[in-house]
Amino acid sequence: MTSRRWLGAAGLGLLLVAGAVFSAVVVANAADSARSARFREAASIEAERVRNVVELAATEAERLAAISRSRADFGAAAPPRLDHVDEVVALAYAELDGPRLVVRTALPRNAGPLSTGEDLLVRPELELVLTRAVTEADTSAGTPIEIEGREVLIIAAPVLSDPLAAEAARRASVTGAVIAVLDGARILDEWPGAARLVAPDGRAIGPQAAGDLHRSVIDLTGRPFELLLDEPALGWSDSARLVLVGGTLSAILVAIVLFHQTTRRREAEEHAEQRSQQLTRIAEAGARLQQSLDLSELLPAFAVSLANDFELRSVAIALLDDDGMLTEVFSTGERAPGGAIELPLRRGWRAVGLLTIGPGRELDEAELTSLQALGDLLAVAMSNAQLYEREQASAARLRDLDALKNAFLGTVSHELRTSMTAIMGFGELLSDAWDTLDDTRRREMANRIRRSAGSLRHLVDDLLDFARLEQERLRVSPRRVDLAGVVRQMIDTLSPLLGRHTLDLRTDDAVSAWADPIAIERILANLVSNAAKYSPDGTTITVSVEPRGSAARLVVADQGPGIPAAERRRIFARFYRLDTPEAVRTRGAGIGLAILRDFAERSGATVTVDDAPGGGARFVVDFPTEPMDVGSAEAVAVGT
Amino acid sequence: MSNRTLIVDDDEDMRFLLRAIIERANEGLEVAAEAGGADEALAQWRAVQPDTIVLDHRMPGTTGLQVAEQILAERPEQTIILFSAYLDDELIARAGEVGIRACISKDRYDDIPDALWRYGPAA
Repeated sequence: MTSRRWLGAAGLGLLLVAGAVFSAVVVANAADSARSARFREAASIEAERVRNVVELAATEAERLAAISRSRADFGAAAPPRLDHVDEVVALAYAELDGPRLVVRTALPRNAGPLSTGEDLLVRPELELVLTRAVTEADTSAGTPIEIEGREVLIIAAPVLSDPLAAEAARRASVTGAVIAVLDGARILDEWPGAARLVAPDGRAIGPQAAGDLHRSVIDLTGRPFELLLDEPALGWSDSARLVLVGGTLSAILVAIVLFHQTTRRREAEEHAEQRSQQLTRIAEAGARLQQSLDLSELLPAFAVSLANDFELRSVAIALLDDDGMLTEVFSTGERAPGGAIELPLRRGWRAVGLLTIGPGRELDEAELTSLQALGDLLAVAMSNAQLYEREQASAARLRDLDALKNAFLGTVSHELRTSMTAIMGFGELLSDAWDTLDDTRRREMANRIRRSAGSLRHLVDDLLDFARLEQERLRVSPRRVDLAGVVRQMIDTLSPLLGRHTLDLRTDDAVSAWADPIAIERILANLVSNAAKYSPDGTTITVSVEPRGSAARLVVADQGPGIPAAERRRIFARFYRLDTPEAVRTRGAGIGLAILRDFAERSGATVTVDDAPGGGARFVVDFPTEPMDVGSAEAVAVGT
Repeated sequence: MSNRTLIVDDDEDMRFLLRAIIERANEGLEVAAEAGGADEALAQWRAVQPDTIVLDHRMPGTTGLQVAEQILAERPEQTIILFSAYLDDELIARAGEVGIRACISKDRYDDIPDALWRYGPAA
């Protein structure tokens, strides 16, 4: 990502540099136009300057010639003149000696190209200039020549014996000449480019110019010289350079600033993107968590998506039960030792579980915050799912209870109508057919009426007791009683419940107990009725009363199949009926033992269920023998 | 023409009462056999081949409707009268779907002879 940013910034910088160069070129072109104009103007000035230099040198030579009547005069006047014009590198005083023009004095002695005693007229390159001086008495600038490797321009001024004479006499009065040697390089050295001074005969001083030239014709001592000035090579103007350098630096600066800003913006965008992704994950997880209230579906889907979204090595979810114990309910991935992050799952301030993740990489702060947020969502979903499960269980229990109640009502209705039908039917038969029935038949029908009435009474008693239990209105009034005597008195009333069973009563003479006789009767009746229902016809139901330690014990044992150990506590629940074949084949409303339990509880008695000797069920009820706080007693105990 | 009846009821008093009522009515009505449960009922039904069955519905284990379904599956023309202490509209409707001819509440026990005459073989 950083290299791409650098490339972008570099590209932008190059664009800006190109812009700067373009701007510099534009500026430079504009500057060139101005400079061309300036060049032309400067060339004119330069031509004028060159002319002035030569003319000044000629004037100086003429003045020197005017005051130099002799070699001595020249020697006295010349040195200052040498310094007067910089371009004059040598001065000489020559005298006509017949056909010869002999140098008498040359200054400086060894610097000049002219040597003392030299006849200048023998040097063809000087012929023109000297001829004009000595024959025409005219100061003249000569053809540029090269002397001793130096390009020079010779100016010769005539020395006249009669300067004021007329033209012809003037020429005759020439006695010699003052010769000034001008350094060609010095004449032209002020021009920044190449400069070349060309004489009318084509000889020239200065290098051959190339490129654009400015040509000026200047008059030097009456002769037309041509000055060729080369325009200096085009270069970047200062302003263009300034624009170029400034633009480049600005471009670099702008590129750096833009890179910095781009980096910051990219970082902000990446951060925003990360936050967006995290929020999306949270939203998606939240939606997933809403899709089901079944933990077995919800937890795997959540854990797997969490591991994928955050590239986690492992995810484990544990639930906190009502006893504060954590139980892992789902895990995915491979756990490695160390490095695990535990995120408590809370709903409000209540802990509901623990989310343990094994990160496969380093998680940043934002990711941890997101994970905690997801954990909070999970906690809410888990709480909802648990609540839903509890509600479902509660609803199921209510449905079961409703079904049990419906079954109870159906059974009760059936039992009531059956008993009533028997009573009414046999009564009607007796009434309508009394005369046609023999005594045995009449007696049998009467017994059936009695038995049905007894069953009906027992059922109605149970229903009334049950109604009192439901309304918390069942009351017992314990007092000192002889348990054996009470049982003996009641035993006859139980005969309608016995069916085809034999009852074996075994009691001591007197067994003191602290109990309510009504409660004893209801407990005994239910136990005997139960025994008769669940044990085969013809078997014996044993009822015994005996003192047992600090209790008075009532035992009812049958010879039926007995009660499975696992069911011995549940049989006392209201509407509960065993699922054994014997129970299925037997009618019952499922309230008898619930009533028995409540009577025992309120009497301070305990009820134990175990196996009778030789098989069958044995119910043992231990009544207290002294008054006691019945609220603290557990009425039902399960025998082994 | 005789009408031989199989009485099926888990309550012995009910069986005794029905037998007494049927025998008293006479007029061709006859109790062919009694059964106190589903298995015994099927066995007696196959054994005595009754013309009609007076069948209690609410019996421990298998219900009267279930017994009727088995019998009618084997012999659809078998006349069955459901005799129950607890009749409601749903039970009557289901009995009709199964193929039971009539439903009589136990408190209307004296209607049994008329029902046997009406739905029996003489009908």
